[in-house]
Amino acid sequence: MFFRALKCELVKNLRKKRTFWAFAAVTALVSVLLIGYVVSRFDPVSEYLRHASPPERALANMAVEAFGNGMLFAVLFMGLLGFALMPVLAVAFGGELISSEIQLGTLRTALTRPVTRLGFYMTKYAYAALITLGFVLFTAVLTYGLGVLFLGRGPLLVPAALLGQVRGQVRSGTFPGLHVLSEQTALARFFVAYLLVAIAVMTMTTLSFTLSTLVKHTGAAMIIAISTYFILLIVAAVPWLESWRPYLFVSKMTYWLPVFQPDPPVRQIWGDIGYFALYNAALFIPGLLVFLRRDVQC
Amino acid sequence: MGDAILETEGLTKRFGARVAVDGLSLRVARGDVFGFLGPNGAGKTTTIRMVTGLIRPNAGQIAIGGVRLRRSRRKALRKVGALVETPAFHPHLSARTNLAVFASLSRRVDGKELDEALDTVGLLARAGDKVKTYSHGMKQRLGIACALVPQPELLVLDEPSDGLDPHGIKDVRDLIPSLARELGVTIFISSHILSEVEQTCSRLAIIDHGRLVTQGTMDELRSAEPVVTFGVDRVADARRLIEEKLGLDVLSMDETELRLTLPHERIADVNTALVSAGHRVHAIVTARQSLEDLFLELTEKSIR
Repeated sequence: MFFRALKCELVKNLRKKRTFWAFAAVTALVSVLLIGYVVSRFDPVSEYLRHASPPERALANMAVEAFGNGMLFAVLFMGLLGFALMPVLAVAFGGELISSEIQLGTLRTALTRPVTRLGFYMTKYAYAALITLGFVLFTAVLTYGLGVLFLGRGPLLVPAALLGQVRGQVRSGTFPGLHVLSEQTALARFFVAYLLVAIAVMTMTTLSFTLSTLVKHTGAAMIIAISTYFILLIVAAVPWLESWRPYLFVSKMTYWLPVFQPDPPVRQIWGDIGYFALYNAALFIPGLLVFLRRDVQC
Repeated sequence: MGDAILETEGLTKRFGARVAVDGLSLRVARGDVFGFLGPNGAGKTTTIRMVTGLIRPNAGQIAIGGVRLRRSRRKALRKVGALVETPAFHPHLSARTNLAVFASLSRRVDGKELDEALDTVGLLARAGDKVKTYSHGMKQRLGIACALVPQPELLVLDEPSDGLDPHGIKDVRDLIPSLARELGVTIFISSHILSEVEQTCSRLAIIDHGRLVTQGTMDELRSAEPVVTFGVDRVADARRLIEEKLGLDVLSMDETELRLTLPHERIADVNTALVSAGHRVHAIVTARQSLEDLFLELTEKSIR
């Protein structure tokens, strides 16, 4: 019953034009980034090396030149895609799942069927999780695939900048260097990192899904979810609100970065996964309770 | 009571301070085409929403085929196919895919069953077209097909002729008895179109202000007394005379006529009273009480 309903949910949503537009938009954006990367000979390390010694800077620049392959491109833009684009598109997917059924009146038709409200809601949420995961993995395959196609394969140069380690250490006058992961190791870690991105992005899916239950208008649910995300980003960036950051999930959106360290801090990453799981549960449960109790008046 | 497909007992729904349905007890026997009537805002749709599990009653019980809805929602709703208010579908999907999507929430169905349901309502030829290209009447028929796919024992139709043109109304009016006859399904239908209910329903209930006014077969409910129409001048004065002096209830009146239920032996008394008061009586017509007369009589009494 659950899988039959899930299959129908897929049929229903994957036949919407906007689903294809979302995938097309990501393809277009990644293509533009790739073209920009190739044309501008983008060097992400040098910005962080302004205070490094000239030999260190020269070495780093040579390394970037030598390792400028598809894997580096894919990893470099993972942050941008996972931080800005995917949360927005997750909102577009999750924010309409219940509210669009309310607006169309199809919720009324569906709930006169012998289905429990819990079952119906869980099916919808499972679809939301599935489409988020599918979308994130699509982005991963697309960035890596296009990167390899135009820039070639090879090992991954991991600029310490990417790991968020450089800034502080450069100021102290010590450049921590670069390290290289073999192609197989880099590829495995790349997909693990994208799974972690999916978990972080799922928080936005859950937020918008809950809002689509509480707010009857699809557009309103999406606008509130996106506004919440950007407001939280601003709050997380305010220096005198630093003590709030541990409670703001947006401050952990790049928790996957340490996956590319030579020895990834596995316990810390599991802890962060637990953090997101709790966050998702806290966002999901209010919507579920409202849905279970609410009279369907649409 | 064992052969009832739908029973409600003391069903009550409040929205804040407003009582939409107040202690409603209904009984629909298997095989009935049951008409559910009431003025706007009487509580018909609220009752149907409670019966189909869309809203929860504040008090009372609903049993479908002997299964309590609150206790065994899935088991009870497996017996029901419903079209509640305007039919709602996914506009970007075809009629057949819409049926498959909704049917998947009930049970596994094959393409043949979907086509049979579409054929029953005359939409098989357009089954592959997207629903956004459908007229209101076609959507209404698709709504009925959607309610039929789970092969329900009880078909609940809320205003199935609402918004249809005369051809559409006739189509639905012809369809309902054929569904009951050919599929053996019990039909619970709410409608504003009293002639439609009179022609199609074997039993009916009338509610007003959320309360049951009456229920039974047409013959049980219809007054044994005929409805007498008096064609008379100065109608308002004549009405006052009949109600105040003779103590009779006038069912309805227009510019030239008054209608009231009256035993045959009192027709002459009313005529004499009108003539004695100086009225010119130009017609006296007797007829059997129609559903419209009954409805107006019962709901107007209730308003007073």
